[in-house]
Amino acid sequence: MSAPRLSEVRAEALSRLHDDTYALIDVNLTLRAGRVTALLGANGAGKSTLMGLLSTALRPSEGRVRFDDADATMAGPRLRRLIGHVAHRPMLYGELTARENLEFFASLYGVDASHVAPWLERVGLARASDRAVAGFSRGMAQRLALARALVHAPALVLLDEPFTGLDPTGADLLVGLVQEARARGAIVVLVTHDLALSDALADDVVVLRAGRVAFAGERDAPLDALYRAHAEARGRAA
Amino acid sequence: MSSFETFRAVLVKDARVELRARETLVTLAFFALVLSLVFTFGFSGDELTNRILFPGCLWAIVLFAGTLATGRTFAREAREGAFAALVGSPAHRGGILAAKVTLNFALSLFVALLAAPLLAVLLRVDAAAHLAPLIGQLTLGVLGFALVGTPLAVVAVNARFAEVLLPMLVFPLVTPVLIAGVSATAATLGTVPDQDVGPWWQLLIAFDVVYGIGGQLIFEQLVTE
Amino acid sequence: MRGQAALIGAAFIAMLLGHFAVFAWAPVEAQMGVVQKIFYYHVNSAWACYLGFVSCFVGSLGYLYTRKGRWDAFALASAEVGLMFGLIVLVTGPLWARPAWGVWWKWEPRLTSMALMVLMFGAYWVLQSFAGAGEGARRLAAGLAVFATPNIWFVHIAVRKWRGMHPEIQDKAGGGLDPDMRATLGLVSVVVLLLFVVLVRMRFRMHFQERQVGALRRRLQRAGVEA
Repeated sequence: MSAPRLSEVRAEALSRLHDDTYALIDVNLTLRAGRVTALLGANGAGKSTLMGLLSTALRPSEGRVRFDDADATMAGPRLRRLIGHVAHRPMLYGELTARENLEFFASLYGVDASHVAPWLERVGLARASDRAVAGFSRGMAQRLALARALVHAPALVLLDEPFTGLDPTGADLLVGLVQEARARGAIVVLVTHDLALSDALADDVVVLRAGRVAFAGERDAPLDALYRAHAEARGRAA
Repeated sequence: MSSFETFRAVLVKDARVELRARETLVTLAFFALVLSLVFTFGFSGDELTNRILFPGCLWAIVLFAGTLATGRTFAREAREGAFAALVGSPAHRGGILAAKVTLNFALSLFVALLAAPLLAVLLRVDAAAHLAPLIGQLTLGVLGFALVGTPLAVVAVNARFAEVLLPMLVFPLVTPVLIAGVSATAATLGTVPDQDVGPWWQLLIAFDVVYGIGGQLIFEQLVTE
Repeated sequence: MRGQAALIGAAFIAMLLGHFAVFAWAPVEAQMGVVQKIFYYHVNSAWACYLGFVSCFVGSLGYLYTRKGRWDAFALASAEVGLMFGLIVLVTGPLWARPAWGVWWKWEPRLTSMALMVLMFGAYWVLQSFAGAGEGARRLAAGLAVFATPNIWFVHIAVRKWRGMHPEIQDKAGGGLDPDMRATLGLVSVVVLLLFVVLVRMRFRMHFQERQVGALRRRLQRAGVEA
């Protein structure tokens, strides 16, 4: 296993505007290598926006995201190679087969095509590898999306509601992949509403409320309890 | 991944997608056929009239088809969100643009090379004698349409009414190409007396160079949110 | 505030002076008569229009690189003023053409390029006004402005070659101009420049303040107040 290429990712006074409203306000966070952070919050709290900023798909309106010492907006290909992102949509080409999709994305990340078959095997798509993705169920597409995000062994793994569409086997697979990523020293951020499943995985927790960080720290209580305490409380200082 | 490697990978992938989908190719082919027929029935007259009409009709078909192609290829990619994954990857942005431009260029040229002989036959214009320059003009012109339409299509996907918007934005911008193309074709066919083709070639080439380079320079900014 | 009022006052007075100079002071042209005086407005509006569009180009580039609202506000303001002057050109053109050439419109290089530019930046304006306030729409508009501007040059060349080499009109800014006429032309050009600056500033402040309202709302949001 190669040594981690990122020791930490920091958000410094990070804010992001959506039209004229703040989607995220003044977020300060530190994410460390080899740790899984569960990102919780009610709908609209800003979780996907934060993920977008961490993946460098979005530019901060204020503040910055730092990858070790590098500013993410200066992110060139070198930095983007370190990121693997599973978003709400599978982001796959329907007309291509699973194998072709994975080969294409792998090539963009400089990963040799020989890694593709093992990964398809790993996510349980070996038999469907030559079928067009357009015919895939949501769960199958999600598995392929996971493979796409992890095939290049990224140092920063961003999973936005990855359990969507996965059956229990798929969920087990995902848990295994997350543990594997953590073991090799990656930084993992997991947005999830599946609090029970994620409980065992999370080392740290960040709870967002109305665009601000309501809680950030180690997971010393069940995710469920933390969510209830911070995600929806009203009239409490941030 | 270097610029060229990105270009090649994306182009191969896009070609594969388009060939499998087939709907774009078929739609464009029909489009060329129908428009050719419409123009013929609508406008044709005696031999001289037809020769005068030919350049304008041909370039109009190429323009419409080109814009249609550009809009559709991009809509498909954006619909499934795969473009976001492409942009988020280490792939060289300039290479991505070059590949997309090439794809749109190829599709539009396909239409042009279908429509030109068809129209020539329907209007009974003897274009065969000037095949080489005609193809050259079409190539440069179609490239111009692609160089302008592709970057705008990429950004237009974010705005409301994107499908309607794109032609509205692209048509005025490619007017110089249209004028140059029509004039060059007319001059080649000899329908306009005393017309020198040289300056038109220059204009087509200059346009392509300016927008080729300009598009590359500005694409990074267009694509970043 | 003081400065702005003074500038507007100066522009207003200058405009009055300009009109006076054109109608009361400049000599009446022998061939065309009073109609010729359109030329003072027409010619100056043309360069003012181009200035507006080039400023829009600069502002749009600035916005694409910095994403700061003030660049976008400046680009929009410049485009609006440019469009206004462009429309003046397109209206005064036919008004002059009718008595001069007997037709309302001729596909001559300058008018045609002007019409196309007005079309392009008109599309820009429509985009800014109707495609939503989002960053994506502003980015598209900025991209459009950047792509449209080099076209000014291309369209001009294309149309000039298209309509042949014949000298269309006694070149409007050309030789053989009476010194008094030249002086009037110069005076009106200063007036137009002043007007341009004043109008762009006013439109800029208006657009920028619209964004300020948004900013105020944002600041309230930051302070935790639901706005």
